[in-house]
Amino acid sequence: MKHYISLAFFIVVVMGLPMIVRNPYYVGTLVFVGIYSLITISLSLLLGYAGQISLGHAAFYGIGAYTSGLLATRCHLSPWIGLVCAAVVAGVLAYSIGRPVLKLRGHYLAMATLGFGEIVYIFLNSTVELTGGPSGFGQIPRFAVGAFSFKNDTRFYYLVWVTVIILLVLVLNVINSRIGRALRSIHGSETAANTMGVNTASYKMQVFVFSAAVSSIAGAYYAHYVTFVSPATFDANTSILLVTMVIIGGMSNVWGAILGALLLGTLPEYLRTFGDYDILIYGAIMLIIMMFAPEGLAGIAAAVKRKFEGTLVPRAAA
Amino acid sequence: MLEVNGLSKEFGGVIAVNDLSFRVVERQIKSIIGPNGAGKTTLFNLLTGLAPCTRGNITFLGKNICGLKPHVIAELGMSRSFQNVEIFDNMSILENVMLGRHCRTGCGVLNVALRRKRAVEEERKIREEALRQIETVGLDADPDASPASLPFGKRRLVEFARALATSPKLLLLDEPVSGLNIRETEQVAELIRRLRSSGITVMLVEHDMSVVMEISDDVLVMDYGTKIAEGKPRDVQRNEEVIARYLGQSRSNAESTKP
Repeated sequence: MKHYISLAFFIVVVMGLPMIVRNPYYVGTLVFVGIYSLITISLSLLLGYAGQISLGHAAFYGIGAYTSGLLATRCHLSPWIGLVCAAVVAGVLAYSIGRPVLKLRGHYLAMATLGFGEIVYIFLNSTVELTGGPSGFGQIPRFAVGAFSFKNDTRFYYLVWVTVIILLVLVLNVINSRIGRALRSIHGSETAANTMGVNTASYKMQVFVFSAAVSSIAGAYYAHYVTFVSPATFDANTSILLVTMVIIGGMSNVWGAILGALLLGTLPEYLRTFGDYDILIYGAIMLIIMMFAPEGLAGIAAAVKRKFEGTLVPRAAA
Repeated sequence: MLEVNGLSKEFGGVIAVNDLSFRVVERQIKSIIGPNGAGKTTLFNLLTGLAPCTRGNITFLGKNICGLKPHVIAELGMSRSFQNVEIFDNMSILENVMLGRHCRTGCGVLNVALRRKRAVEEERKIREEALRQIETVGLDADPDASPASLPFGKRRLVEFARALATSPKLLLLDEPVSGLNIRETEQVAELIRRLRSSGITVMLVEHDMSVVMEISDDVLVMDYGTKIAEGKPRDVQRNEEVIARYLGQSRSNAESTKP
């Protein structure tokens, strides 16, 4: 019940924000935060809840962007159909690489997924005929419903963030259920989870495929928003950025995933005033957060809330 | 209820369990005793499917369970606790126990994601059953707290409650009283008896001989992976080989530690 209050508050803020933020450039930044949030929410399910690391999610993001982009430019398919195709392609691919890879644990899983990401990156660079190689391709059409095109930033903002809200509601429901507990039990102790009747292999696969499909949808949004894609957007740095967002936000908290995407998605914009020192300050902020709040931004928020409640409600025990 | 025939397990060249055969009858408390490294925990791992057996077969409720995955065996009605207490510190006490209901519930991803009526109703039942099991084991703690801060004895009770939440027919307890004080030990022994009278068959691996001899209907003594004796606690205690290999040794230990 508690998370419905936070959810209602969140929906009001998200819906109201474009009325305050008028500058299209900032709205554009928030669109990217939304696209990142889709990935980080699904990634937090994999990383924070099920405890399975992936350093290759930029690949699924890229596969989504390229699948939907190519289908729209080459086959003149509607971006909506492209979006569904993107999710299916990434899901099938995640299933086939997940079969061998998800048996690995910890660092080994990280290495394997990093390797997968590199393969996809090299593939996108070298298939010049199909994808345009390193220079990518453009003129990707935008999303449209009949004559209504999501052509300006504000319209696209609503498209992305409504998707984020839908995903958030579904994921919150799953987390507070038997399936959410099963995922967390894998993180806690896979042996114990197994003997208590949880089919851990199957759940790991399901959550991996789900996060791949959602990341792919985020990629499709990216392609039809920017209208241009090139491999550089989907390299290992992006994979690491996505994982960093989840960790900085607070690993085992879906709200943290959004906070992480918001912070790391907007921070470079704020730091622009520092010129060449931006990377330095960016690094310092990350370091400080990890040193003083290992549970991330969501951990800080929870601590503040506890303190606030403590001052309002006299303790029953005392 | 459980029948083990010619069971063997080899790790590389080491034979951990060697041609072991025994039976467990319904509503029995059966103890497995023996020196460290006798293969007792390995036996539990074989029974619960955590390790594949090299030879032999295990029949549980008339079904051969060799080669089945642990989660399938759990569904059939076998549950266990671990020697080192394997509970989930990333979940609350209540959620730990609620997880035990996983194999007895079946709402899929779609049902829970959309919060269908069925899923909400099921979740309520899971919670009720979990709270009931927390009460059964006599765990006195805030169910919404993390188990990480609990003392060892209470952590063990969380694990028992979780195992009971799976509605087991056969419960395997790996050293259930090790590391507990006298009062806690009595509490656990009492709990095991109560479980048996509620219809659960219990197998335990234990080094505390007073508990073993007091509550067991039947005792199986293992050494180097083989059975060296089996029978009523009284008979096993008198068995010369058992005294020579295990009990005698522990008695002389006990004497040497006395002032």
